Amino acid sequence: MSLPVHQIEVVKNKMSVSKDAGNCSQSEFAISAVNLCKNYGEARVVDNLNLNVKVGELYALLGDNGAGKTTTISMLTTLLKPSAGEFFICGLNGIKQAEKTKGSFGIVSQDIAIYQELTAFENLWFIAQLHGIPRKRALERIEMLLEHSGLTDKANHLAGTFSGGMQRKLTIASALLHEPKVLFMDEPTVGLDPAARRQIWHTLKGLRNSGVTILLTTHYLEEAELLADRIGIIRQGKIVVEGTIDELRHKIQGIRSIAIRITGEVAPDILQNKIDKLPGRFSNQVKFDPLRNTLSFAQPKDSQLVKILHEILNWLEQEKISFTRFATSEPNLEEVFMALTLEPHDDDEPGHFPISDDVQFEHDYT
Amino acid sequence: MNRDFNQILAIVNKDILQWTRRPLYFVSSTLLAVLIISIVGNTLAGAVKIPFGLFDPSAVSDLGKNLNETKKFEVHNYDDLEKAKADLTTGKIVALANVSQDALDDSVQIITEGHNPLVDQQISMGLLSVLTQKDSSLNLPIHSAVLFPVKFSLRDYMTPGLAAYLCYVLAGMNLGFSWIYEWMEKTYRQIILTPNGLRSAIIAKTLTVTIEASTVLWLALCITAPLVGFTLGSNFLGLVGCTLLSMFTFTCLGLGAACLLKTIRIYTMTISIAGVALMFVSGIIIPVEAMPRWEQSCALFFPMFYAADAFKGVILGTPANYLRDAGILIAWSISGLCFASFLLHQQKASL
Repeated sequence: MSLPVHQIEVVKNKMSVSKDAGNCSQSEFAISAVNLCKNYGEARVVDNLNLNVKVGELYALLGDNGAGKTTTISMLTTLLKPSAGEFFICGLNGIKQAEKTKGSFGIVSQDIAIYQELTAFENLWFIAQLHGIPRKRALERIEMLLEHSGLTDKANHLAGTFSGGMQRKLTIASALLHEPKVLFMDEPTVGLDPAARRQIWHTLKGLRNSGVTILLTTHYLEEAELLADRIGIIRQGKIVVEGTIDELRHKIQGIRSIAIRITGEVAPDILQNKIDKLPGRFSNQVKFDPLRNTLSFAQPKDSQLVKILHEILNWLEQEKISFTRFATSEPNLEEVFMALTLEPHDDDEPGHFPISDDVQFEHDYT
Repeated sequence: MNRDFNQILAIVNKDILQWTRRPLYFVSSTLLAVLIISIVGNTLAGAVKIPFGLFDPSAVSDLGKNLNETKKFEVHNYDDLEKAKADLTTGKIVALANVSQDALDDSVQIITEGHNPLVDQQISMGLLSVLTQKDSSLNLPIHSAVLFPVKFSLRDYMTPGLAAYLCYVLAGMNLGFSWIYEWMEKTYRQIILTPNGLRSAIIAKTLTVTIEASTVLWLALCITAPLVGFTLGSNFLGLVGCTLLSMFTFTCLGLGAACLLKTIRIYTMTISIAGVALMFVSGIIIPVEAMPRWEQSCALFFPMFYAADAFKGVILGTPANYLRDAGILIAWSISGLCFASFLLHQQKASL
């Protein structure tokens, strides 16, 4: 199944948007963009973008820097006026009913948006007042969000004294205070350490389970795959590929690789002789990077993973090749894009896609 | 309506809370105002006790007594004209009045070193002051009169103009920092992404900055007046009203400039340069009437002239056209708000 998105049923979706003011439950789609464009002078940054995010769905917009993710989010959150096209948030026309639209969504941008001179509580209290939340309800929400963010003990500490992760949590809590039906998250884990990223992921999963519609932009494939119900890949302002996680995962698996960093120096011709002794299924599936002293094997499908790993380990032992690190590597977005837009091949053969040259030992199994 | 009011109140509360937690900003802005009022004011008001030589050995005139009374001059009496000229040459005195000792010739010759026109101008101003204020008692064949005899010194005269200039500086800088800071910290989006948040932010920011900057100016005036010795007049309500309106005008104009210039660096540079130009062209230092004609036309265009005119009226009691001043300041305020509002609606995300 190929996944170009040009056939998105734009007109049908537009018609199905509820005319009720901001009532997501009466719309099929919480977010709907129709031929959205943004030009800066001659440059078209977002090019006839069509997007539909179902109510309660977590949709990840995946793209490199400059692909148009942030511009898209800026338009969908009324911060930027589209050059052409229109969009709907919970059934409200985001251009004609911009002020009404604002109350229905929350946004967490790449940047930490909190007042450093105010305490965590004061930051949230200020947001509650801006949204006109009644005092009692506001206090309940603040208490709950502080607790959920693990900031209860820090409620009366100045936000400027918080770590980056804590500040990001406070930013997310601010965006959730008014119980938005739709949440825009623009690369919320950029610059965070792995532990903080995992906490944010946990929060996102919880929100999705509670029925909040989330549009997440990221350039981490792993993040999108872990969290999203559907993924759209944006390039040069257009969504070029879209699909569910299962649909995309099936394709992406073929371009993942297993990387092994070997110890000591092995002459290339000797190593090639050893590689030639691998079973036939590995032919043309092994690359050696002399700079990193790393062997890369194309990663097979899940069903074959254990078997292949076993064979590789046996081969390493038999050929007396010692190694220090053993890792799986993620393809970069370019490789994913290439993989997803190529014509499908036999699913049982994993080797139709290039092995990444940029092996990162992010998941070290040593 | 009630929600809008609560939004505005929330932003005002937040801004004041932030303000109180940045005491350095408050202290430094007050210090700036104190320094400008005292040092710039004193400098512009000119020297006092200028060493002035008087050659009148027979006491033909009572010039010495009158010059001393102005406190502008410190009179040194000479019996020897050549010695007096020598002292003038060496700079011990900056001017010499040579009173003719001939009973039939009651002329006075004023001799200056002549190297510095600004010093000469100060001497002329001091002498003019003697001649105009003391005409009834001055034993000289000069007859002068003033239409509106004033009871304030040159130092007093400088204060209202500087107050108008400080309205520009304090309101402009405070608003610029407050607004651009929100953009830089990205907290601005938290406000404008609430329904009607942008409108509330504009109202709240202009109000808060007006109040904050006015407080700083009043504090600076109250500290400086007794120390330096100038009058604040007795029309305190007028002073409050004039300050608030002037501050509000420059706050609105600052908002327009902030939306246009966008970064702290460019904003600060532009406001500083424009401030110096406005100070000179709006009659803050030299009265508009004493400026070149083309500059007089410019002065009538800029709001600082009208702010200064109103301040002079309420502090010194000079004739001021309050209705005209208020009307023009309000018109400038509305222009600034409309311009800012237009820019903000056009380019919210890029701010």
